[in-house]
Amino acid sequence: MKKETIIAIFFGGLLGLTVAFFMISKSKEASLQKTKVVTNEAKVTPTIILLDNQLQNLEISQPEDGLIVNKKNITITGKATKDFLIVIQSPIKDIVFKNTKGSFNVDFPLALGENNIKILAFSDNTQLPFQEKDLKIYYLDEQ
Amino acid sequence: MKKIISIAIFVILASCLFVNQTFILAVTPSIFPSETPNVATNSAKPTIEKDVEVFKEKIATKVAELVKEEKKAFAGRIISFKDNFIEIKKDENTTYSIKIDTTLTKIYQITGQGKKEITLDDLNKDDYIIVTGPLIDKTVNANYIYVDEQFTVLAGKIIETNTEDYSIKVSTLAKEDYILDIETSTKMNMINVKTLEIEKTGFSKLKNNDRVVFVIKKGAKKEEKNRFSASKILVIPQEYFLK
Repeated sequence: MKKETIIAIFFGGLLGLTVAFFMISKSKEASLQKTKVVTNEAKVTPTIILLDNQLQNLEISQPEDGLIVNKKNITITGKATKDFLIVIQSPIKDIVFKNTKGSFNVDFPLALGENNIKILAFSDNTQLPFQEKDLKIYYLDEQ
Repeated sequence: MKKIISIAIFVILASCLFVNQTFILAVTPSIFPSETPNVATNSAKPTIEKDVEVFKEKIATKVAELVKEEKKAFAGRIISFKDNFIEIKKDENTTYSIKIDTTLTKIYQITGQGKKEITLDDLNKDDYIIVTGPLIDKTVNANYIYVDEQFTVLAGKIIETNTEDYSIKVSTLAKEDYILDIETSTKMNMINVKTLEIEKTGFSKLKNNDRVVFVIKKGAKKEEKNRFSASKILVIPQEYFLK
């Protein structure tokens, strides 16, 4: 191979690589700009988490309202603010406990027919109104 | 010289192409892997087999929906009878028509923890019934009917205690006021502030600002609106909040 050919290949390659790296760096800048948006969102999230940690709305994940069952009891699973007083009342049963873990899971008896169950979360602080949820569970043994 | 220039141009283009392609593959790997296997799968699988699978999935979803629909209960008070149809009122805005098949529909009266079978003739206007069966255009084809008592559980704060007629006035979160008559049959319990145990209590222990959770039986006719006989009361004394 001639000396000129080797020089041409070398400089050609060098120029090609320079152009390619220029393009890569441009693309990286563009992607960094996108990342900045994500970073801004992330800055907002901790504030929301902090509020959530302070006050958890009473949530019942199980059972679903209007559920029909053919057994004498159900398990009520839910979440509420830690250390709130949880009261569960139906025409046949009352349960009271302190929500020490932040979430709860209790067995609750059912009467044959319609069961209206109220779940309440009380704070120690009277300034905070209590929270309540209602469930209608049907214990129908023929189902 | 011409040869050198053409080689140089070729090498520039080749290096640009090579580096760019490598970069694109590295930055957006998800485009290629997700598309490539799909194309391979699609080409390998006959179209008819794919259609059958989609059809099967649709049937399974529909069956699940129907089962869920059939598992629904419809409750309300009987407002009218007409042939083999009963009309029930769930609330102010919702009514359902219940179709009864005299040979298939089973009707029960709930008595405590048990039930006894009754007939259509035993049903009366204002009875509270629970119906199960498929709902088609606001008409429920009843499989089972249960005659039950309608209880409601409510909660609020005592705003008035009346020792003359043994009643209390309670204001709920929804700003609705209820007058509860405390009868000798009313089960009255109070939470022990220290132990959180549920203990029996009496009318004299009730104070304004105590929180109460109470059960009333609806359908019990009283002249005064929002006045009920309390079946059950659980009191959370105000001392709990002052600890």
